[in-house]
Amino acid sequence: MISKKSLITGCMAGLVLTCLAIAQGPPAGGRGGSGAARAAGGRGGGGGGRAGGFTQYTRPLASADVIARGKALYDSNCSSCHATDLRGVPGKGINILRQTLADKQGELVTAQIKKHNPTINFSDPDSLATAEYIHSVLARMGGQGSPPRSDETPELNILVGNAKDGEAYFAKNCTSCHSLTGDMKGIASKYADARALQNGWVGGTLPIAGGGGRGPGGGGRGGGAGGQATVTMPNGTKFEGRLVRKDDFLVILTLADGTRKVFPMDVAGAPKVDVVDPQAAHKKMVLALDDPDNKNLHDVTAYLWTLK
Amino acid sequence: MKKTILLSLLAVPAMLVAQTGGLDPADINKPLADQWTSYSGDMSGKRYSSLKQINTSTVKNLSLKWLQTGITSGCGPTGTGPANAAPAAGGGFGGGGGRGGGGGGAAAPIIVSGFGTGDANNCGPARIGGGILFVDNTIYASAPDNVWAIDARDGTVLWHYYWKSRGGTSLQTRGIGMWHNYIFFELHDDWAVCIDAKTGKEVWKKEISNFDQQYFSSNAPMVVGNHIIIGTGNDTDQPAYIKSLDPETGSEQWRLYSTAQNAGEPGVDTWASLDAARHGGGTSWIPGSYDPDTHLYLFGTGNPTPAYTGGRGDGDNLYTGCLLAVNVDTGKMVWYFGTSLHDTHDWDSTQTPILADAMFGGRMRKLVMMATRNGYFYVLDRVTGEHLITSKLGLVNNYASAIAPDSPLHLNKRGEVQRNPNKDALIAGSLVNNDVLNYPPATFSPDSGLFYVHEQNNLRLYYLMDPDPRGSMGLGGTGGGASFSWPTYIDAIDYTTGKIKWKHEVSGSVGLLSTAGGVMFLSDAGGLVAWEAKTGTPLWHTQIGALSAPPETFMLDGKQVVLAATGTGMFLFQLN
Repeated sequence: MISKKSLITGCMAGLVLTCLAIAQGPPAGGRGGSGAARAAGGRGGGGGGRAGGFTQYTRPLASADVIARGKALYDSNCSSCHATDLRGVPGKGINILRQTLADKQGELVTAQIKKHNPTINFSDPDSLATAEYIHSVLARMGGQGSPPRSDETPELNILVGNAKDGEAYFAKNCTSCHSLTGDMKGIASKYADARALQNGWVGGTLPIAGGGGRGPGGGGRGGGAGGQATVTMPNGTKFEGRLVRKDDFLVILTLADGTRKVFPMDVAGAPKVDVVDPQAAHKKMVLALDDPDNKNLHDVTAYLWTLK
Repeated sequence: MKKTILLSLLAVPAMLVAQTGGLDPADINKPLADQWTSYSGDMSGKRYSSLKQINTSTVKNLSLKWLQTGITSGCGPTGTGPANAAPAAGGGFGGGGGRGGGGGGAAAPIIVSGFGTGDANNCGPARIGGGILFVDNTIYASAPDNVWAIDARDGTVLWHYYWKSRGGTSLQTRGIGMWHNYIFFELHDDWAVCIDAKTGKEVWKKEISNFDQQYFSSNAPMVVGNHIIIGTGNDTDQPAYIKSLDPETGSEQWRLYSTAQNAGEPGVDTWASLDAARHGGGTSWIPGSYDPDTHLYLFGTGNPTPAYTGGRGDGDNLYTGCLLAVNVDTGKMVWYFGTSLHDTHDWDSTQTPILADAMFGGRMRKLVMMATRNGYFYVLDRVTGEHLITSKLGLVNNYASAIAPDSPLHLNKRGEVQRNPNKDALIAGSLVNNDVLNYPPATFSPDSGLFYVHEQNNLRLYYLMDPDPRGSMGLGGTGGGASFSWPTYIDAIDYTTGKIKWKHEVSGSVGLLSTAGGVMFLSDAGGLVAWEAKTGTPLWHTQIGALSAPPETFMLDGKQVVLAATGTGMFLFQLN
């Protein structure tokens, strides 16, 4: 028979792994792959998903009841200084997320609690449960160090522009292509929020419920594979089709009848190639829209948001 | 007595036996020519080869000498496939061994190390990246967690070093370093290894940062005399540093943090607090360059953290986003120049600086040139750090000055770019340029006097999603919106003026190479391309697939050859 005192002594003697197994019960199920995908590219290669990721995302978590107990302990004893999101309260407590990254089995958290000033009267199982709660938060960190999303997402108001100035800007710069009684009628009602509206009108995309929508991207060499192009041969013969490839050596079109047409470009008498950039109008628009204060951008959005 | 001596010798660890032969460290400082001995070929960072056999007239006669498609990254406990995987026909996943696409011969030995199980490694065609070395007719190439020695005569894999990773951020590597018969390599889960160049066997390994704190290590070790300089990255906001290791033991010689770690240290007053400085980022994940005359190692530091949000104060956030000159003997910073001060867009300034002795202002000067991710080109005096030129790159670079390419620059008295805070990520959104360039290395040709670098053009809406005054962590707290792209180019920049002499549209870049033969090699048009360096006129191309590493050139059996790696294999070209 193992007494309670022996168990605690064993924990303090460094048998943390054994104690955790007792405190945790069975693991709470799978991990990894639950987080957001990492942002692509960049430093050191960047990218990569959760699978095969860092320790915080791959280790087993404690059972839900242990994590819940740890959260209750944290909320009542720690959060006033270290914040409910564990990122610390300036002038009162450090960022727990940062300081506990290397904690494996509660050893760092337990040590910190033991020497904490003012004293925190946690038993070792209490400290371990708190550590398991912290582990569960670390496991929800986003790509490349992003902290876990808070449950208390603040309302972010993007409507900071002057709608009247936006109306004037729109009338002067946009009405040659767009109509308030036609394609732009009730435009604001087609978007879930003002940010989605702004992304939509700047990018020239269709409304996307729930918002965010990116522009169509495009671009690329020669104004964008996938767009239309006209190839004019030296004798005046023209070929029109969808641009598949364009570089210094080859231009490839898919003609209207589905035929693939290849034009060598590194030969004498190479044809002339004109690419239609489907984004050309909006690219011209955003170049003119830009100003050092983003005033035009914000004004037009404020105006368009009035067009319910 | 004789027996005693013999026993004593046997008792001496192999790593303590003084190294001779192989690659003499003195050769690493020589201008790039017959061998490729470091990340950039030589320590100047120019990626300019003095070889001339392949020139504007002869380049059209290049043809394939060999193709090796059997270089595969390892996985599983032995590097030959996942545990319990059925053996595949023809040797399965194993570390290559084929030659010239034709097979034959025994499979190359796989030397297994690392602290993972192999489950976090991915088998498949190698993603060879960064600097590929060529020394004594042997090619040393790497992909994350894997190093190969390859016979340059026929492409046969001689050995394969395979590291069982614990995971982490692992998509690319910058390559390897060499000192005598030792190969040095950084593992993404934060170890540096020393490998015997002849056998692939591990000589030593040292932990260089804490994997549990989400460091990742992909930099190419740079050999400077008896110093192995390494850098490490971090995904959150743990302290950033480079350090120097002893080549024979791996023991740490010195360490240089990018930001102040203690009160009173230089630069701490450019942060909101000491804690903000300690966790302020500035990682180094691309190799620098070395000037043997001044003993200065010059390298760039990464973005500050948090990358996009507040919490860092209003200062310059030194020494993130900087070009640093470090005395390699002491590890002390001699001078700095802010290339992207108080960055708010994740624009690392880690691009490899290029060192050149060239005429400037009517006299020969020791210059350092650098084009950085924020789209600016700089020329400085590399001995003193004196600023000489700042110029803007890109069609839509508006984060510091007006969007027109020729708009007046917004600089401080030191010539450092001053950002427009209204082009930070804002709650209401800001319309601002994206990266103008990134890690693919530039090249400089002393013959043309042109600095060549790629230029990307993209505008997008940036939003601040985490306005908490504490700031976010890492790359958190931002969101993207609508975006527009314009073509990508190679810019040819007159280093004496900073003006672009010409630009040539390309599909992208993995890095550039120029030669005394007047040729520039690059990845474009679905393969390897050669241009006339002076004009950008295409001269030759071969559609082998987009390159995964910058092209290289060296001498093999009296002939200049060109090496290219793609996602499907390694190719060696020679003149007919």
